[in-house]
Amino acid sequence: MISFAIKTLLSNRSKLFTGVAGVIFSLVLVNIQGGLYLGLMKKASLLVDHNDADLWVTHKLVENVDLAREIPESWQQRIRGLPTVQKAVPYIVGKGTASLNSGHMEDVWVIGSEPDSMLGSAWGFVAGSRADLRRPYGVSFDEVDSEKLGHPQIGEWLEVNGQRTRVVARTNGITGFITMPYLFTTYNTARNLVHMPSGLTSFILVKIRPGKDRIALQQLIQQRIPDACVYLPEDFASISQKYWMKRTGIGISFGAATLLGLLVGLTVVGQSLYAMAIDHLKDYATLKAIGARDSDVCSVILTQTIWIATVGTFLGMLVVYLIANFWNSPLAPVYIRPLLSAASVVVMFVICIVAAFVPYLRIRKIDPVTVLIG
Amino acid sequence: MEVPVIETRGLIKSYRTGEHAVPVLRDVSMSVHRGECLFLVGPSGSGKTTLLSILGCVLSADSGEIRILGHDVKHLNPDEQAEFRREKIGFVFQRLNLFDALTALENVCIPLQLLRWKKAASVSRGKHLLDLLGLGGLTDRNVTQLSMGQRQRVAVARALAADPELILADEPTASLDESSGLQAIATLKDLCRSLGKTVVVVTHDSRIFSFADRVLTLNNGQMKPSVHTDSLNAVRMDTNTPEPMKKAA
Repeated sequence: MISFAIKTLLSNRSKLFTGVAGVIFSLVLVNIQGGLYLGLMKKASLLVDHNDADLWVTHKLVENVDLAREIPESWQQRIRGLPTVQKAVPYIVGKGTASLNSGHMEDVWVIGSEPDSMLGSAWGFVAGSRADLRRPYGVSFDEVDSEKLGHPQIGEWLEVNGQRTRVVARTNGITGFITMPYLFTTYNTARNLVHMPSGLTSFILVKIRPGKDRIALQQLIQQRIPDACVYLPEDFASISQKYWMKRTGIGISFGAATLLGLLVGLTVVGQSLYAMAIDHLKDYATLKAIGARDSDVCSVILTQTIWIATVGTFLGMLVVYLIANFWNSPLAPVYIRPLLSAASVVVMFVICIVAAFVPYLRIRKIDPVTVLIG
Repeated sequence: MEVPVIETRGLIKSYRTGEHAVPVLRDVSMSVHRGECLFLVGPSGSGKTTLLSILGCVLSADSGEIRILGHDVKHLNPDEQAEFRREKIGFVFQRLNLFDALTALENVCIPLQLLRWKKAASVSRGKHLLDLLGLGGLTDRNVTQLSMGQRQRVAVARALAADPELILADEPTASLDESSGLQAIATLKDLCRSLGKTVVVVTHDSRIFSFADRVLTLNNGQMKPSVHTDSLNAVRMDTNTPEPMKKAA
């Protein structure tokens, strides 16, 4: 019955097109919404995700990497004393205000890394390098923030919190969840710029010796410094993401849009299949009159459904990857994860099969006698 | 003694219209023997198609007895009725009811697919039947591209595909012109006779009565005594049938 199902489907091009379009629309909406959501969430943990630290030591009340609280700088000595620690360095994430040549002010985040390792410093350089950041008062900014900062050129001065910094590098792709420009520099420059009190810092970043157990070290540091919170990077990234998710309700809005996409898909596919079934009631009645079982009729509808879902999925995922490649930007990153795509495809097939249920019930009701006695 | 292919006794069928039951068949008793070509005739609304539907196991009688090919089909449930139709009965519908999206061959193969035949076997069987009906060169033609006469022959081939013992045809000449109609009924009768099939044709087309072995008349739901067509033929063949078809009949 497969050939009957497909040929009948192909003979009804407008409804086939509508059904396939419904699947494409749903898949694109779900994947792009999901991709944008994941992209935004990644921005919330950008500083953690692009940092090589094995452990983050923070204040107990810290819920987000961008919103640090001061901790004693001396904790790094207590951590360095542990046998499996390769390195423990302080790291500053602090707020500043840049004064622009235009007279405008712009809030910025100042990120300061220990100059020897430059752990947690900038990446994605399009001009200058990490080494340049070690120059006195050297800072980097991201191309995305160029307009906000008055289009500073390499070598120009930029005033932050009343102190002069020199622009020595430019990056691409470093933009955080709250869209304030990140200025990367060395630890001491950052300390001066954000007026960090002496003896305090934002985080301690820990590198573990190769082959040693991260979890064991995490517990050890936690025991040694009970006032601290010690996080694995993936946990701290997750905490940072959840912070914004809870505070902004962003998950609900994206989730609602995704659900809407699925509902639209369900409706469009269901409506197309139903309309197609109604158009071919005579054929189904004939099939039943010549002895088709309910399972034969069911297989026809299911074949048509799976065909629509397969073609729609193929085209839909093509559109998704085109959009993700051409639309993706640091400001609106679209993270298309294989797991998200696979899940959306599975959900789409389930939705299509659910949508096929209504026309199936309608066809099941057809009395074969209608072929003889109309 | 040979069991009749069809045997009914006291069949009664009514349709409900609101509060009232309108009787359509009243005490219909008949029998049809193997290899016989029986015509059910009568004016519109006389109950011919209802009787054919009951004989085809797509409709149940309110009361009475009915045995098809020796099986008491009155008590079959819908699934069993479908199985019985699939295996034992071939239909030629008044509007042919071919599947427009399919080719001639694919249409003929549908009953075989319902019987779970292998594709190669069903294609071979379908081609053989279309060859027998003179459509060997049109197997891959979409049925919408065929003439009405050719479509009629595809419908006959589809009815014969599963090798059923009983063929039921509802007004098979209704949508054909006189010449095509006579040719179609001649083909149906010849083929069924050569294949040993029993045929019941519902018609009110008096031009084709001469092809029947026996004619049963329904009037207002009641069966009139049967007429053997030997004498009828002599009269009708001279008045209604073109020369070529006299030979075929």
